[in-house]
Amino acid sequence: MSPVIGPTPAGAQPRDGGRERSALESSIDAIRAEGLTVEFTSRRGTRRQTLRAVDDVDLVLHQGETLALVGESGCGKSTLVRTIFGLNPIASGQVSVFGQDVATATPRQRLAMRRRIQMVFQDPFSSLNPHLTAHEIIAEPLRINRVYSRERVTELFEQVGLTRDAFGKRPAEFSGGQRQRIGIARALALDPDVLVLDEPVSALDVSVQAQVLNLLADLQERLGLSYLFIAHDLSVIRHIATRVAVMQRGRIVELGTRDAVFDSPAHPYTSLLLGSVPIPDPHRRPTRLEAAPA
Amino acid sequence: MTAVQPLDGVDRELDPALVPVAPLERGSRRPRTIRGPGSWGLGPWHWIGLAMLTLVVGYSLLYPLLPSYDPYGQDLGRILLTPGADPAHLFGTDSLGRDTASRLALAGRVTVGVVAVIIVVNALIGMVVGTVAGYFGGRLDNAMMALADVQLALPMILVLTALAATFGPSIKLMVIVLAVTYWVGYARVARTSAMSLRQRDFVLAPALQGARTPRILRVHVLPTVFSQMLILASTDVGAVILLMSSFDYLGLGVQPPVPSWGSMIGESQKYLRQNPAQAIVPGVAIFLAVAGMNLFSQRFTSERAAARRPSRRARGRKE
Amino acid sequence: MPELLEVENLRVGYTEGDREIAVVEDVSFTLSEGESLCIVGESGSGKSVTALAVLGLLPRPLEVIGGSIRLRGRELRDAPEKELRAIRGKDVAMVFQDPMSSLNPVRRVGDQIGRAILAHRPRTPRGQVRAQVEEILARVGIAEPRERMRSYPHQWSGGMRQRAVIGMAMANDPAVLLADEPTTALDVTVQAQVVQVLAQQRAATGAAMVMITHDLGLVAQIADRVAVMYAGRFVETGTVWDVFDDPRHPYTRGLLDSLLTTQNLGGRAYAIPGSPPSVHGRPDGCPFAPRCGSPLRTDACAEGRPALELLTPGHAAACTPLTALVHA
Repeated sequence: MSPVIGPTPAGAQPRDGGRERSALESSIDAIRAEGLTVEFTSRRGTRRQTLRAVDDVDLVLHQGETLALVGESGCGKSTLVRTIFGLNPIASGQVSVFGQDVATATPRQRLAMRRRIQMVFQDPFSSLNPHLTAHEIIAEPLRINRVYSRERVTELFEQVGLTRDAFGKRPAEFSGGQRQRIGIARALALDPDVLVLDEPVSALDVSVQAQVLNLLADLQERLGLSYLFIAHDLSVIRHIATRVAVMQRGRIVELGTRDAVFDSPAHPYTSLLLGSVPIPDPHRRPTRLEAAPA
Repeated sequence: MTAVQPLDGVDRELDPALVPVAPLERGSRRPRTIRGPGSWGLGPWHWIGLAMLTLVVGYSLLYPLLPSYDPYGQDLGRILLTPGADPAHLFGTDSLGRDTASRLALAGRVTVGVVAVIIVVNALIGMVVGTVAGYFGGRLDNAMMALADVQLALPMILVLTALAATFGPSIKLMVIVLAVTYWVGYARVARTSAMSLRQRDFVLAPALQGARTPRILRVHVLPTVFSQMLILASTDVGAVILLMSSFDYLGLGVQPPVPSWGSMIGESQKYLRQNPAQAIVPGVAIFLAVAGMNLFSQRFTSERAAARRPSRRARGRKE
Repeated sequence: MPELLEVENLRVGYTEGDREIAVVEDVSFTLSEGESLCIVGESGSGKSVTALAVLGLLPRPLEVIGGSIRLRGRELRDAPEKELRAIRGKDVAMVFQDPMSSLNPVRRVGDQIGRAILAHRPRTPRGQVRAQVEEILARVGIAEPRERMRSYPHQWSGGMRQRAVIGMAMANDPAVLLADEPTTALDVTVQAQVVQVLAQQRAATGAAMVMITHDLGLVAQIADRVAVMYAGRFVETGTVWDVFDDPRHPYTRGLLDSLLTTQNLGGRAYAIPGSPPSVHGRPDGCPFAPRCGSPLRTDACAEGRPALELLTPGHAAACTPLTALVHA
């Protein structure tokens, strides 16, 4: 595991390195956001509009857990995720990865961060370079960081359940589920501790979604990963989430354990989300059919 | 650690060779779609275009192998012969008694060669400028596009004429002038392509994994831009042939005694009454090359071709 | 008395080289007045193609290469374009997945709905058209319709656009509404609203509906009858109660079992192994055989296409071992 980045907490006595440090390590949050606010300003003629895409968000991802971040389009979850990766300027508040503040990281610290947190993208069709073979796609992060080895690529293939004849094929020759596997393998190439998954199964067929979710659950157990799982549909994360955060218009409106959120949602928006998923049981149809006003 | 079992029960793409050929039902209408050999997807027009190209290119390459090949030999005693008047001269002779058939073949190679150079140079310049402008955006983009707008304002023919008057006309001059002005079309396409690629996840992923810009551009952006350039170039060939032939016709491009299709037409203009064949024959050559290339390149640009390319499916959330 | 819509042995495909590739094979169904039929399937199943074929809207190079499509007894398959245009929007209307494919971005929404009305009732006076447009928008739940109809589509949210499209489709009181994944591109909460709008419109006008979707939850809420599609063929048909309470075909069962909304927590989610075949990769014999986990599966399943056969009245499945059981 990579060395801890960031200042040693005050009062900690460095003992014989081994056990004490690992206790400290596992207590550091994988991701910690405090009062995070991200704004976008647009100018329309003389008017100036400021949009708060992320509004005073407090969020923690503990090591080893899966935090599901759920919200509809425009709620800011994608912006939040990109801010964690340092892709958006922060208006106020802060976010840190394993104790390292994202905004103040030096290039070397950024490099170290990259090895610990990686992203899996939503769209299996545009997240893979169509000109490269599967082998090249997964080898790319290794090559970039000068740690390429054929064995490692083979190992990654096997970890995600792809067979050897997939090596030389291009993305167009794979199904959606297989492409997502390639995307997952690519994200695992640098042996990260945290995977941020941006709606990884939304664009997949129903009969394939569960496969990929099972794969993710297996990988988490085997590799000791932490997941930040973005979704717009609560039913998708039922199996895999430890805790759930519900986001609406840039704010976190509910945060709790999976069971608590599903069984007794505190916020009306959460109830609305839960109630919007159509129940696949014809015996349970709503009796009143009136159009809700737009 | 034991190897992971493939999680799919069946994780292999079924061999397309096993797909049964469905027998056409009795009485069902035969589809309107055209059948061509194999899955090259070439329709009848594509074949016609290809045939035209083969005719012109084949002639230019093969005729010089004949012993009677002589594009420069003058015979002032036998000028302006019509085709068929003398069996030694398939297409007759020009005003200096040179064998038109031979000149035609050489002209073909000259024209095609110069056109190739023009397209390659312009595509390269356009690709580089457009990619940089599209990928980096901002002031760089504004500057380059302003440059492009300036180029568009320059009328090529007038510029070339003016420069030719100053420095004397030559092929080199023409290629240079075209290189300075013609790249804009390629740059536009490259720019749009780079702009859309910049947003794609497969460009973001390597960036998040530590790739620096040169690598991203080389491995992830340029291949797509390059294939766009190829497609554009294939449709551009016809236009450039016409453009170059126009310049040659005016005497601004290829210089005598080197023949080109355009200059052959220009030179024989005076003698149109006596021997129209001298103008018609190179004109037919231009027609075959341009129309042939246009027809054939539709294989890459028609809507069917677009459907054949791996496309994004429309499923998925609006974000 | 002919049914409202009858499709018989529909076969849609294209030729590649000298091979014929069928995207939809041997599809038959009927639709009665006021009934709602849901065609359920995943990508590559051919469900959208089926809907497009009915209205003659297949994109080239796809074509109807077999079978018949009859609207109230009138054959539509080789009908001239003029006839089809008279039907589209009036007798049979369609709602697409992406509202922007029905809405012109440079025209005001009110104008577009107005045009839909005028297309089939050209002599309607302008004032009346405007009033009707306002009423349509109000019916689908757009607040302040008179102001709203003057805006452009990009000024509306996805859910509102889809409502407008539904309104446009219902404007001429069609007998059949074809909806191709009308909610897939929308947010979850908006989906629920749009489904309500659809149901309410149907109830108000008595229109029949064919809905194409991959969402089984949606099907359970809105369908009278269901057809499950896999690899271009129907593998199970029946009432919504039949299919959900007593799924027979292994694919249907697998689909229902793998639904994330209803699976038991704790442990792995169930998933059908493998993935749906692409159009080119359809195997000989039963298309689902490579993935079929049913104990009834035999080697014979890989040879000979199973036909859709009735198992109980109104409930059919395309599974050779199942059919054999019933006839045993």
